Amino acid sequence: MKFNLHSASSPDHAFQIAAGLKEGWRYIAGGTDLVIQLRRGVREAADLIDLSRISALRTIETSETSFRIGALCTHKDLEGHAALVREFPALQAAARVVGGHQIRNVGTVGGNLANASPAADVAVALLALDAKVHVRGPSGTREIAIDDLFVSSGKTTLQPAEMIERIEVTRHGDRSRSVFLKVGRRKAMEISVVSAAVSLKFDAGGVCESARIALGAVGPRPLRAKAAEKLLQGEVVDAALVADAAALARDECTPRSDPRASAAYRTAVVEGLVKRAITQCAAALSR
Amino acid sequence: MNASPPMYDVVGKRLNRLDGAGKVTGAAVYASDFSLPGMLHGRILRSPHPHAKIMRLDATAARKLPGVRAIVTGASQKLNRFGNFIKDFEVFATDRVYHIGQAIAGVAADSEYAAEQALKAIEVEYEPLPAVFDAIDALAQDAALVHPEWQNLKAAPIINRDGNRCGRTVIKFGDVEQGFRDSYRVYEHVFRTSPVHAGYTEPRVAVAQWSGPDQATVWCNAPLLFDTQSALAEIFGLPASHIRVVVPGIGGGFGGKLRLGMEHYAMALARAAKRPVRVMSTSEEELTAALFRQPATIELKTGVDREGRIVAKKGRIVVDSGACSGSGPLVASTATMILAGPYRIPNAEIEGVAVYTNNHPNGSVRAPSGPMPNFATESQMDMIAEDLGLDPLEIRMRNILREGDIAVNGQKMTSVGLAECLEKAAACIDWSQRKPEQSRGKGLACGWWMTSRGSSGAYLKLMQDGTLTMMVGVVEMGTGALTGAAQVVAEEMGMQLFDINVVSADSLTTPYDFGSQGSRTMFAVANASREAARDLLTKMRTRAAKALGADEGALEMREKAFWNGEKKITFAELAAQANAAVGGLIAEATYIAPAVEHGAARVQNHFSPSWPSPSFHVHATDVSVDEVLGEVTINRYVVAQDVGYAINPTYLEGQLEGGAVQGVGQALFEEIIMVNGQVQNGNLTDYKMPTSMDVPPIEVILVTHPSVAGPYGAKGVGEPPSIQPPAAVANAVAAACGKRIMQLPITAEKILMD
Repeated sequence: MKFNLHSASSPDHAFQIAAGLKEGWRYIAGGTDLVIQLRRGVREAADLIDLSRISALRTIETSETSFRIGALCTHKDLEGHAALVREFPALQAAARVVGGHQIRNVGTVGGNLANASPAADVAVALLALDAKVHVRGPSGTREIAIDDLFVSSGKTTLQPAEMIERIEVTRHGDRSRSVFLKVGRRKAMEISVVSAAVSLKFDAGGVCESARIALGAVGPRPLRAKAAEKLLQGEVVDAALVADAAALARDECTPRSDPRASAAYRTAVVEGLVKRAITQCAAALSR
Repeated sequence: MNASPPMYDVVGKRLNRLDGAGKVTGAAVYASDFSLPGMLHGRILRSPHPHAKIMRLDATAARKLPGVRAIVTGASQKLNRFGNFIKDFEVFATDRVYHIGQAIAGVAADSEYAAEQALKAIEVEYEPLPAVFDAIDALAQDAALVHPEWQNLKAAPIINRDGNRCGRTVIKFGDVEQGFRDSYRVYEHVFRTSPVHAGYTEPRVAVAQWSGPDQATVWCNAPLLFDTQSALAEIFGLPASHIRVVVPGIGGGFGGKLRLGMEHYAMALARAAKRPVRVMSTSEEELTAALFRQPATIELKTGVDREGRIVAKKGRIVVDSGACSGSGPLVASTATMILAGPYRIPNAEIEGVAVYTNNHPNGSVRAPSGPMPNFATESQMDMIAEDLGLDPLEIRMRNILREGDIAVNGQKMTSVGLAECLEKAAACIDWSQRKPEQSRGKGLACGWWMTSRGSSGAYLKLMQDGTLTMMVGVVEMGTGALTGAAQVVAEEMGMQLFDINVVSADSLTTPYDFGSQGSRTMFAVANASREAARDLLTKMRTRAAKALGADEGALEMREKAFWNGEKKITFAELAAQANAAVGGLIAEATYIAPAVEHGAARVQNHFSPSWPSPSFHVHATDVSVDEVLGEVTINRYVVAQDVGYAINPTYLEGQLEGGAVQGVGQALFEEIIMVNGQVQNGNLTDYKMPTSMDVPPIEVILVTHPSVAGPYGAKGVGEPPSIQPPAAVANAVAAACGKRIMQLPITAEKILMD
């Protein structure tokens, strides 16, 4: 592994550097995915533009309506932000099961999204929270729904020089709740074999106003189980409905077999995991 | 047996280890820290084919790359074949490769990067040959031969070979078929296990330097100095004394470094480059081209009477040695004892078979023959108990070996702590509540192991400051074995632990030793050193008596001095006088554990037919199974082990805790996944050793039925704790959810889907 490392002091500086490089360069932040990919020869890059010194992108801003998470926030930053994780328990649950402590101290939220692994834990949680992704490129900024970010394993809709600046999650108040669960062979240092994030919002009468079900490692990208979501919306969530929703979610998956698990196991387990996540979420809301 | 033991000043105490401070401060030097001026970096080109003819190998382009200093291939240096039991390893392939990962060429360059670029520039053309990947398939008459020339390969006489079979051991006595006819019920099962990595943290590494055309030194992390030295001497056709093996320090071994690692590559490259060369395996190489624990298929048939007592036992364990025999023949042989188990068996026929396949060669991992047959035997014990409506603890109490019983090898058992281990482990885990709630259950497994023989030597010298230097030919693997041996010497000498200076791990200066393996290191080194200490004390006493003008018998030894009434001479004064007058006070001794009688007529081609200073062990665990996801959570884990005597309880407990965790890894998580000889999970993302989140604190119970041969009654302790976890966990999982898993590891997927 051999590359030139260019340190950027701001997004514009990064674009300037990029403009002077031949194709085949990449951004690097924490590097916890990229460095391994480079070492294993899965990706190649002659030049890396290091974003990790752009401190402006490592803040979590709170407003009345949302949290704006800088793309360079580490998993530990996320996990330790009391107000954010109080409102979005799924985010904390996802951030604290990424790799080990060392990985979480350097791996970033923006990187978790940009790497576009179908098994990315924080990406799955953010998908269930309907996050908005603020993107900046040489020609300006744009905002995309997180569901429109992922294409397939390792591929996003980001344009060549674009970078993720911030991720925004909208606050829904007391009547919303989120849960993240994952299955893996070990209880730590584990890439998800299957993960599920569920976010529910109930109205005052206990009727499900909105539901989001995001699943990891059961398709080519982190995916939404939209048919299952639709089934829950406008209904009182009871055991029978949960079972039906979980079965629907299962049918929305197209898992593959790999050395971590077979497609058959993933299919079997995703149903149980979704059922459990919805049940926990609904139980928390009715407390 | 368990009368309160006598109190000693140094042994039996929880003293800090001699090498502790250096290791926690980072001052300790490991083999991977070692470097020399002008040192080059070596990398190895490995075969991508499981079996192929090498049609062309051209390193011309690679040689021209910047920074490349030497390239060695099978054609460029004459290197002899090697192997512990059969000479079936080549350093670099000559005309044929027989497994993926086999070394084809080595490159020495100014940097690892330059060496790596050169590997890519070596051109090799292969013509694939038919290959065999399953050990049972490989035994078939028409199977492709891994070594068609097997009859020409030199082998130890004990090896019973035939084509792909590279070893067969049998234990046979009584009439097993009649036994089955006489049985109330007969049970027949097949179990399978997967290859696992030894899990050492420091990769295998070697730095080699030639000091002339026929003299070399290798700094490496080999636990067996003298075995490594002989193997290298054989490969390079040199007298053993021309090769010096030094181990600066070792970052874990667990058996996985017993056989040659990088030493031969480093030596070949250093000879070609005329510069020192360092070769260290990458973590990817560790997980694709290391010497794993052999996967095994175990067929087991057991007949019992109405009370669950064993009437006859017939079993066969087939271990996959991979493309070279490595430790396979020994592993298969010793496995026969574990497959029989520590039980009273009137009729038995137990077979251990080692087989060549085109998988990567395997080696030794902590208790090399242990976990696979124990998983079979102890799982089946529970299955029999369940079928007969017996408690798993009770069926074991009815069958276990007790004092004076004859074991399957015909050996009369003494100092048997097994019943006590069973009782204490069961009490600790609260066995009467075996299924305390839905999806939760407890399991136990018992086992036995030996303290390997092999000789040790020790040199002692009294230092001018009154301390003692002890020189031994083993390597401190991290177990604390040398601290234990030093405690024994200190006790003998009336010294404190930190009065003992230990020098070890240099083949040139330290005495011969069978090496750090087989749960024997502390046992044998302490016995040799203790004998030397007694000799040294005799010499010291004689000189002290002369100096004090007293009878030897009148002298009292205390506070590192000999006293005659009020008059004394200190150890330091004795040393100074002796240094000036007679070249100092030195002593040496050697030790080998006495042979144990066994029934020679019962065994054929057996590597270790007697079972010296056997240890006994019981593991009990309490697990919960998530019946939706299949996930297993270990709530509690108890180890009760008959250790004979605890020289240093702290490090002994450390061995039992670490060994149990390692075994839990094989039980639940770890497997080298191979498809057609190709590893599918060759990285630490997907090869999963347990984390601290996966294992609760291990609860250790030390049972002490002393060994007559052991220092202060100690038995070998290091390997046994890795034997029982797979069976204990499998039995607990079955108790928790009713699912009996017959193949390791016990994954969530198997629990949910099989």
